[in-house]
Amino acid sequence: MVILEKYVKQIYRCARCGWCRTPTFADHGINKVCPVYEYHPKGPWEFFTARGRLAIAQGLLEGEIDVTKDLVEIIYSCTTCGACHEVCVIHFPVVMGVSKTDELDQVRVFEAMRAEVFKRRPDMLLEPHRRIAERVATQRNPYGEPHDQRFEWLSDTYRLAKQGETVYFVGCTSAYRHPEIARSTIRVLSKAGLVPAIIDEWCCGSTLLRTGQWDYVEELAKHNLEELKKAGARKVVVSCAGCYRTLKLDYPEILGSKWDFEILHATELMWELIEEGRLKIAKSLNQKVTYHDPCHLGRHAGVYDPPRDIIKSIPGVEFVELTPTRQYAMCCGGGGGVKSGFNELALRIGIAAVKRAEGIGAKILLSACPFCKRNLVEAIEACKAGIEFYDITEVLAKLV
Amino acid sequence: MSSPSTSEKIKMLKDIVGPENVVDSKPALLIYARDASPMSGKVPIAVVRPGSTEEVQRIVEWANETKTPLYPRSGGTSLWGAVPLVEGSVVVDLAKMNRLVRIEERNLTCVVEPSITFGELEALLAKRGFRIIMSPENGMGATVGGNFASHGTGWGAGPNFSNQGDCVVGCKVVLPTGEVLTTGTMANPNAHGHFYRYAFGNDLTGLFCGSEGTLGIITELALKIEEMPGALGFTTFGYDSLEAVGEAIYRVRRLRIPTIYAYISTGWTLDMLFPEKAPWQHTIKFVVEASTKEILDIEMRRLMEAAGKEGNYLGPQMAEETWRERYRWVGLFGYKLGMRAALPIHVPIGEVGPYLKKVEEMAREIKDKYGLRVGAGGFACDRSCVIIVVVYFDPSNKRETELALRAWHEIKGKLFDAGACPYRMGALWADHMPKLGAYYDLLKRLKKVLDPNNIMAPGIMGL
Ligand SMILES: Cc1cc2nc3c(=O)[nH]c(=O)nc-3n(C[C@H](O)[C@H](O)[C@H](O)COP(=O)(O)OP(=O)(O)OC[C@H]3O[C@@H](n4cnc5c(N)ncnc54)[C@H](O)[C@@H]3O)c2cc1C
Repeated sequence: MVILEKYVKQIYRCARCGWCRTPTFADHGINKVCPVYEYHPKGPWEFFTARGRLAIAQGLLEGEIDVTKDLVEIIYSCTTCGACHEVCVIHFPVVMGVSKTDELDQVRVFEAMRAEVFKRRPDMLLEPHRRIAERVATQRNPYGEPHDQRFEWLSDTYRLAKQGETVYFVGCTSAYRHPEIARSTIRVLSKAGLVPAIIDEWCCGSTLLRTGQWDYVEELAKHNLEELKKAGARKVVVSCAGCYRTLKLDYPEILGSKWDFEILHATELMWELIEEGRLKIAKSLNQKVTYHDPCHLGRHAGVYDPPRDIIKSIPGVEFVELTPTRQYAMCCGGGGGVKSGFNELALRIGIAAVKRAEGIGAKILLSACPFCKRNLVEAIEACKAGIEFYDITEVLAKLV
Repeated sequence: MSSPSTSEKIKMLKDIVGPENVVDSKPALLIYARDASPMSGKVPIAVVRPGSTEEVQRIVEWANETKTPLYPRSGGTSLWGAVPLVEGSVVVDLAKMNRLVRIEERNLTCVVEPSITFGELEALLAKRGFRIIMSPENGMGATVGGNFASHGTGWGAGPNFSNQGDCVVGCKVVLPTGEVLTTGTMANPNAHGHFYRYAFGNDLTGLFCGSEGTLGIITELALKIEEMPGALGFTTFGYDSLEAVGEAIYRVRRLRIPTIYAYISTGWTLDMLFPEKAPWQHTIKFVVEASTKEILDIEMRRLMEAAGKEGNYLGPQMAEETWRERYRWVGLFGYKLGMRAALPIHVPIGEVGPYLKKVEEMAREIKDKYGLRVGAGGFACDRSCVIIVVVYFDPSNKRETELALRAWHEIKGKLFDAGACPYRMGALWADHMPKLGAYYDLLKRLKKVLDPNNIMAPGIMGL
């Protein structure tokens, strides 16, 4: 029980006050927090909420429960979005500005529970997650696509160097499933005269970290570190919120001070370029637009403003906020291994997100993560919503 | 009929509510053996989730047939051991019954299902320009049904109201034998909704107020609603002694100043919470409600005089901020210093000072004996004042948790002996029920008549 023991203090800190179940912060337009509690096909059960999961963590620590199929299903039915952390009663003193605490980091604990369970019973891992690990090990990406075709989408228009101070870390989902995001990112950066380099990147390991398969991640991180060093990189730009969280928050923990790069999300860099006047938005977009905060970018890493600043600076755009939004935003449903493990759940959460956007009259739903894109586009199709989805980079690529 | 096995029981339950509404796997059940207190109960054999009064009725009938104990649960946020106390029980999770059923605008009432949270209900009512009268500090997680069933009180308490029960005009209950009872005016099927509680003889609504699940499952409640307040006033005073605090609370109440919040924070508790600003005086934060600004001005002047007699004026800000954050600020008092074992009790409105002094003494004793910190605060009700005594501890430390539990029970005994009145008994106070003599005997007899198989929440309140 080595892994979970590191989190004992946090696990027992839960007050079971129920704020992670059904809080209503009317002033923030919140009446829902946990997407799994709200939209699981099995309906609202307490074990889906943070306090339920923390009771399970206590049960695991105390040897009260074994690793069973039911347990695995519960602990993997969590998008690890972290909304429960934002509303948690024990963090309220922080909100009041009187105390600083990381006493209970729900996302870390839930990820550690998965790692613990995987360590004890690797055979119980969900098949899609096992396959992901297998594919990452053989092809360096969770989709099992050939590694040597990772940059197939890169047209001749862009001849990217293998050396440079600024490296674009494309990420597996953009590389193999949503190359339009990668192409758009490069197009926008190039317009500002910033042609990034690319490296022989391997999967950042996010999918493995989120699904409790931690062992192999260090090797991935080391490889990416070496490649970045070889390229002479100082800045790393990522367009995937999952990669961003991993490179920005997880790698420093795994690699320590050796990991010494400035990590920027594409929206951060692009906003910087707009502000400096290096990037001009030439065309207008006369539409009502809203923005979905990717959990890994917003709640996990605190990047809320640059994407909004970009959207608001597009001529003609009428920007409307979703409710709830920013740190209280509802997850798209795609993260934490839920998309691959429980697609029905992911879609239900996604459909709810799309309906919220439709409900405020938005015609375009923007986000800044290929994972969100995957799930929200599917959700739009599934509920035949009258709204279009784009990654911010895609929209910018058309307007600059 | 021979008693069915656990797996047979679960199958039967699934037949009643559908398989998706029953869980029986151990990890899924763990949270249902806990409330928000440090007490844990016996893990039930299953949790069942009804969606309607009819389903609740069938579950209760089934429980009688199979002699299975049932424990109703709404928000699961009790602080007094509202947990399954016997083996082999089933928890009835009312989470799906969380709707605002209707607003009876002409009756100034609304009808809700038990599991709607205060936060949600307030938001829904506000859209129509209404509000409820009373809500607990934990309005985020706490539900109306659970609050009524456990004598809840909180924001809104003052000269007019002291308990959630004061705000309920009727309810619908599935009795322990499965019949459905509607209380208040709606007992007459021809009545124009819920508008009066004390009709048709005995106040049967009161039978279920504070019954903690022992006499049936409440499936609907009719609550008083009011227009949004015309004007609110805020002020805070600091006091050098607990006697002065007690006198201020009594004077303000006696003058019928319309407070909806008069919250005491003891100085030593504030010292622990905000050591950077220590030493603290004892404070009382007041919120006053009036129908117009003009009336408010008059009441605020009266308050300033009554509360300011021995007090030190600290301005409106603290009270206003707390009111604005009324469903969240409990995070500070409650959990900044660790987990808490809380003891809320009522004491007479005119005896607040002496009781707080006793609590202060107990806090010192506990600190000396166990090395644990004890805080205290409270708020004025109608003719009583709630005092909440809190033992703080680190729940990940086994030894400290044990000591905290010991301290908790020790304080509990001393408070009871000193005449304090606990109002939500759960498992925590069950051992003190026999001390109530004839009162307890009658409760037991009532329970036996209404629940001959003792299926509803056995052990809770010592029943
Ligand atoms: C941080 C914090 C602050 C709090 N502050 C306050 C406060 O200011 N004032 C206050 O009053 N309380 C307070 N509480 C206690 C608690 O949150 C509330 O009293 C709450 O209303 C209890 O409701 P619940 O839905 O959580 O009830 P539960 O815990 O689910 O149930 C309470 C009791 O009622 C029974 N019950 C529940 N639903 C039904 C039903 N439908 N029919 C029959 N019996 C039922 C249960 O069996 C149990 O015995 C606080 C708790 C916390 C954690």
